[in-house]
Amino acid sequence: MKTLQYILFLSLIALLLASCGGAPQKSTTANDTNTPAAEVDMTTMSKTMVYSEINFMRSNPERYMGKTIRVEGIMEYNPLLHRRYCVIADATACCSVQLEFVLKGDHSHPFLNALDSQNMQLPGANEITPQPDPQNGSKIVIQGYFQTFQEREKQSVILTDALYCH
Amino acid sequence: MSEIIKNLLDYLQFPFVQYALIAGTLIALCSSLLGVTLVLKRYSLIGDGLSHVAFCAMACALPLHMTNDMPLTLLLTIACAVLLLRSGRNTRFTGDAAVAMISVASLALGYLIINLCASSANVSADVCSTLFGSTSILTLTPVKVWLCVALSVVVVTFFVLFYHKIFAVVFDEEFARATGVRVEMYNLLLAIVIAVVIVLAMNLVGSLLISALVVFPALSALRVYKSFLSVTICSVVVSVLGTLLGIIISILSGTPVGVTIVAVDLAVFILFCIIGACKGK
Repeated sequence: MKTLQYILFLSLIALLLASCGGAPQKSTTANDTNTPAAEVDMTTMSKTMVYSEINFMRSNPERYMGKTIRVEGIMEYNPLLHRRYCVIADATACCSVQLEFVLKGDHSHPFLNALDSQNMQLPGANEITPQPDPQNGSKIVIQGYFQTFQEREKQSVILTDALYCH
Repeated sequence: MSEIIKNLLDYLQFPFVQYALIAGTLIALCSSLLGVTLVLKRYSLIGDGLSHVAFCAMACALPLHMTNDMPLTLLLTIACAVLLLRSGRNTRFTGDAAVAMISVASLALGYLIINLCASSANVSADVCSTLFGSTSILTLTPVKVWLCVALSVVVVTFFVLFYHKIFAVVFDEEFARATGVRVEMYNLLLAIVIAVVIVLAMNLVGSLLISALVVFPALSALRVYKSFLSVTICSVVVSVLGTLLGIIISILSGTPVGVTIVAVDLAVFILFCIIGACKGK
């Protein structure tokens, strides 16, 4: 009877350990697009790491200034303010962070006028028509240049010249 | 396998992962030191009760717009810890009843305050993060890490300096009192240290899971070892390694940090039960 109990316990541990392994790696879309590779590619990271790095970015923006960032999240478009966000949830899905982005060719952002992002823009960016937006709530992968801007005395972070990577 | 190791080495370059591993190790060390004492004093659930008090204190700090809620949280948690340890000697209010009462009352009051005085739109997320500690350990600032280091030094110093007195108070208060040990003073110091550890540990596993961090390593060690010293050392090793493994599994597989650490501690406890049974305990 005791042997049976040990076997049951060992099976339980084996199950627990098996569930810990096999990290679910998110497939990157970098290879199937014509977008150049990002300097910080978060599409290959685990959910916990992505959420933590976005938080780190917001508290230490100087480390990421001007770098190309690629991230996966949920599309959120506010038609009244004409602002787009990539919403990234944590592992429990109870907390989320919003990463704002401005599409390449879109110059309607209310707080970006003072931002000197000319050296960040790709050649001919001004003539480009912004890509059509996916539906709100759909999964997106975006890539853009990391910048900061002042919004009502508060520093916010944003991805400029962003592209949807399909 | 090499892919996982490569990913892990990449992740270890991030400052917030390094902060999490440092803070996690220190919190696990402190909580396991006190865990042995609490389990032997039959106060295993005091961690749960005090973590709810800390949650309530953090909720109180919200409407006060305090930039740093740590002093208020520490103060309220220490006050309740002293109250709880003193109530153990009160026959009208037994220890477990007092813990249960303070625990649920603080949790309810804290949630009520947050809902009534919500200062941000993300209230449910704040509550969820505080209760389950989803990624709070991975969003620590250097200031919080240094605070964690300082408080951990205080806890370990207290434990090392007063090891023999704590031993005497834990096993037989009456005998300790008869031999001239100032039991009341050591109980008060113990209560303060417990409160400090609970407030620190909330960052790691959230307030609902702190009991696991306090109780599991001690219970695992008690399955295999007999002496107070060996149980304490084993508990520390189990707790630190379990926490590090939990954080690493969590960042690699994308699971919530707090629950992953507790799951690892549970697996270790089962393993130690088997080892203990094999040794014929």
